[in-house]
Amino acid sequence: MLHVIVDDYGDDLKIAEKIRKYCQRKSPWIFHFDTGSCNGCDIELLAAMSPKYDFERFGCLLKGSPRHADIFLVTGPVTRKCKDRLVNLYEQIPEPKVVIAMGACAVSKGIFQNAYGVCGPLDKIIPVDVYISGCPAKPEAIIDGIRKGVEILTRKSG
Amino acid sequence: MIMSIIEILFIPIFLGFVYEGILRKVAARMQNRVGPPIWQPLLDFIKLLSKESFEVIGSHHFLISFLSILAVASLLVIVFTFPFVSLLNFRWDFILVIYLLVFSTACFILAGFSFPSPYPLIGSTREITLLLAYELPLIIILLFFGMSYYSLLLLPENLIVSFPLFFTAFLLITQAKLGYQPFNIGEAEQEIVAGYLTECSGFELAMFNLAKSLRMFIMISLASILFFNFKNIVAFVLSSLIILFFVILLRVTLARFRIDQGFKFLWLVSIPLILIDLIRAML
Ligand code: SF4
Repeated sequence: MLHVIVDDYGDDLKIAEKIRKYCQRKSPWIFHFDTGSCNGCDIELLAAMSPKYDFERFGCLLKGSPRHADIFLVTGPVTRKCKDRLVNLYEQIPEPKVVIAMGACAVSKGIFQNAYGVCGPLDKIIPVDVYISGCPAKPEAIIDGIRKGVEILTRKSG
Repeated sequence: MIMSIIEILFIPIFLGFVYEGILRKVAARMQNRVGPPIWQPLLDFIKLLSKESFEVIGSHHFLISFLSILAVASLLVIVFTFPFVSLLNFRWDFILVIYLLVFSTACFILAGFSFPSPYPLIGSTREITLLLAYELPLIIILLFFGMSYYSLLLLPENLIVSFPLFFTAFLLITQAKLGYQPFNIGEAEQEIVAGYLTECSGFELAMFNLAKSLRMFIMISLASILFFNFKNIVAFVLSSLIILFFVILLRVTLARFRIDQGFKFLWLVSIPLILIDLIRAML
């Protein structure tokens, strides 16, 4: 049934698909969550919004509510207190969504390697699509990570 | 006829997005940034339409979708009363404009109240408080023009020369109505996430954002029609852009009021301004 419809309207669907993918690529809205980082990475994220780097020129916006977001940007090793909230927030982001682990902490626990209160790294708890390394990650690296995340976002939506 | 209705529906939506894009671009340039392209709000809109829309437990999903459509529809009806379009021009169309403007804001507030979450609740409560403050001066201005000139079609040109203080007050009210600084109390990002829109996602968020850009287009066009009223369409757009520039300037340069400060400011500044011009007109 479905492929008959696709055959009939194939070209129109392709154009609509292209428009949708273009729009998704051009307006990634970011929701940022701090799972007990040292705040270095969060400040670098703010630096990426500043006049020198300005990620709004790619259409990125930092949103306060997980329901508005496309990209879930997580910093810090996941502390035990944060774990449930992290999963809760992850589930509140509407599909399609992409998770970015930012900074050495989120990627591999970093300097919190053997700390007792930490149950990370992030990809043990929720699926991660893009890893940004660095301690803290550079604004250029953040913008590059967002670009890669956006490509994955358009592929995820089919 | 049908063609003209389609044009009337799409041109305001298009211009609303363009104004919003200009706003974001110019605000970015004022902050020494590059800023998004001018068509960015359209891209955001299409992206939001393609996203999943959540049903929040404890809220009525259909009701919120309905309210979001109603907010857009009630604003689109206002466009029909504008002099360039003149499909709905009749005596006392000022009252229709007042009613529909309040109605669209009421849709936002009701949507906020229908979520069982503290942020939309606080946002809606603040928005109602602010509504009490800015709606009265707006009604005084519109009713005064309505009683003097009967219809938007009969307004004379360049009323700004005889009512400069009305225009100043109208700019303040526009800022409050659109929820921009210094009156972005209802959706104060740093305090209450996104105010009454916190729990909206996907389709509803897209519709409410569309309603916001439409509201901006309508308030700015209304200011241009009331105070300049150029019959030439190019002059009309230019005067709208000048008003838009003032809106952006206020938005970028000012900080947010606390709710009581905002309330007091609107009452103690805009109403005396209006009263002075009103008394001058009566003498
Ligand atoms: S990666 Fe480095 S800068 Fe970032 S949160 Fe961890 S310790 Fe701080």
